[in-house]
Amino acid sequence: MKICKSVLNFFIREKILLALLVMFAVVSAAADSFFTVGNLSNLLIQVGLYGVVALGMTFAIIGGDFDLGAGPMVSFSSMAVALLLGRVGVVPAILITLFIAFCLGLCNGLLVAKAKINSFIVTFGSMVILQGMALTLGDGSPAATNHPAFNQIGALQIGRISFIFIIFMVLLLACHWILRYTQFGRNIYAIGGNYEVARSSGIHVDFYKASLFVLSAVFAAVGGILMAARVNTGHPTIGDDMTMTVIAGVVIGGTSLSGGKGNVWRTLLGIFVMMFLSNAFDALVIQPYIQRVIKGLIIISVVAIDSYSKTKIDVGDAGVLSKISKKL
Amino acid sequence: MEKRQKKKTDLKKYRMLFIFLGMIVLSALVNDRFLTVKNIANIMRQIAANGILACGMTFVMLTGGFDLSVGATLTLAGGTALTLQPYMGVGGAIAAALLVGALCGCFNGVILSGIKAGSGEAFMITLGSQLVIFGISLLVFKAKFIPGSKSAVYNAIGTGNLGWIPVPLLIFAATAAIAHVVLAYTSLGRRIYLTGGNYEAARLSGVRVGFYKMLVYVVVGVAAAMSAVVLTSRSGGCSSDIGKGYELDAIAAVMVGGTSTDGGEGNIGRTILGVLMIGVLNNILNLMGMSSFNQMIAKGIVVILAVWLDGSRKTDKGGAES
Repeated sequence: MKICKSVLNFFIREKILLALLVMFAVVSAAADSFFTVGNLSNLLIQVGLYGVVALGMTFAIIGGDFDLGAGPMVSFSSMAVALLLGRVGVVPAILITLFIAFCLGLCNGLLVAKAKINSFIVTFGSMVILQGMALTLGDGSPAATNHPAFNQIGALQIGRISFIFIIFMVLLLACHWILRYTQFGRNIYAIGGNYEVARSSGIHVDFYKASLFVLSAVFAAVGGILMAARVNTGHPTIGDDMTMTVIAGVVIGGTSLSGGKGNVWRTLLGIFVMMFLSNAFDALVIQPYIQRVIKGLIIISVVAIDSYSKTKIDVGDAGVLSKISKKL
Repeated sequence: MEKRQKKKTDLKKYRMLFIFLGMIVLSALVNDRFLTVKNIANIMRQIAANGILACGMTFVMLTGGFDLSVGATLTLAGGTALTLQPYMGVGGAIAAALLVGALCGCFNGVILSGIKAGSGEAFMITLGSQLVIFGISLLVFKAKFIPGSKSAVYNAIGTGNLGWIPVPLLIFAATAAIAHVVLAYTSLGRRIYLTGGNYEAARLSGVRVGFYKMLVYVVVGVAAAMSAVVLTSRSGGCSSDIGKGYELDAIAAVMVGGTSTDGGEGNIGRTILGVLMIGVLNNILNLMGMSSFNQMIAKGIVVILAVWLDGSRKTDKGGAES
């Protein structure tokens, strides 16, 4: 009984995970093409590609901001790495791309932290700038990555698990460690939770604020490089729509948009839900326009239920599920 | 001493206006076609759609909200206005479009006021309804380009002139004037400010905060439908992505003007200034013959620079609480 209760309690807290498992089971039963090794390993690649970008976004959101430029940064870095490959070789191309992303992220960070400009304006501006830069690089057309070693990064599989997903998991563990066990990580929670208190207690808030945008930019660039390796092309608009998917994934996982709460495991869960939905809709052969509607309704209901149950708990009603749990 | 302090804040208040005037002088020096009547009329025609939308968005942002779904609403309403015209006539079609806009806004508003959403939730929920509304418009109009209206009256909304003045500018000016009067001089407006400024205090002093929270989304929905009518009339048709990016342009215009994202602070005048700045910027970059890719880069840089130079909305918080 005790195990039963703690399991139930776990799922009450992790409603999204419960919903995901149920949906996973339903779709597996309903569509033959879903629960196959090929499709699932494909799903993991998608999770890996979006997940890497989402890790950076998780830092930004925990710190109380978000980065509208993350998606365009994916486009930009996929173009940059593709064009650099032929000229300087694989490793320098990747390093230079990451360095450019670092510098651009630092610009954003300094504008928000030092010049005190609203982060929405700064990242909106850098979104437009990055889109323009990505298009300028190849004069609007994509660039092929004719480099076998580089393309191997996207094609390599260990077992049936893509190398991209493995890189993502390694980065995820690193981020988990940073957020949970280092002073750097704890301070990011502090500035996201209450900026004024963090500042008054002597945390160097400007540094942390700036580093949020650097991290977001660099992770987005990693995502762009992996994307280029995966599709063997640098594409100037490939990531533009990723920003909103990634933010939605992070928030659906349960990281609060008001900052100070959340972790990377929630991001993994949220991104998995978003990627699962697209994949499952395709497996169920649902028309893409209807897919949008359903996806939107799911985002709305998850956020609404989550927020509504929070206000209910405040007045003492803990909801149906926990009443059942009390009886057990 | 006190006087000087006051003078300083007064100047600060108008800093954005000076930046804007500086921009105009600079543009006039760079390109001699800029300060011609024809070009100015052209700018005014171009900014109308974004301007109307930004006026509505000001209402939402004054309550501390956000609406990312207006671009999709614009597409749906624009398609409605054009598709229904053969059946209902111009007036009926426009009324139907406005109704569609109001319904989309109502959908957001009911949910957001029901869950007492903060700006974070408003961001996510309207992102979700953006997908829903855009998906519906793709379904209804089959993602096809809808050809423009055959009615001369409808086409005059976007392309006509009244004397020297373009009709879209008149619509924008009328919308802005009404919005300004409502916000500045009516109890309705004051309550919207109150709801955004301090939600709890407003609620405790008897303001029906839930209602106003809902109302502002209806307002922005109707505004989106109005700019849809202007836009589809001006561009002679409605493509499936006509509204794409309009939500961010409108929010950027409101914020460049200096309305705070926290709510309770800002006004229509500032929004108009923001709309004008972005419109003039687009225009001068075009006149200079810059490629569209480089235009994007320049636009991003100038928007950030303008807000930086403005500086009067400096918060000691170091950026927006999202």
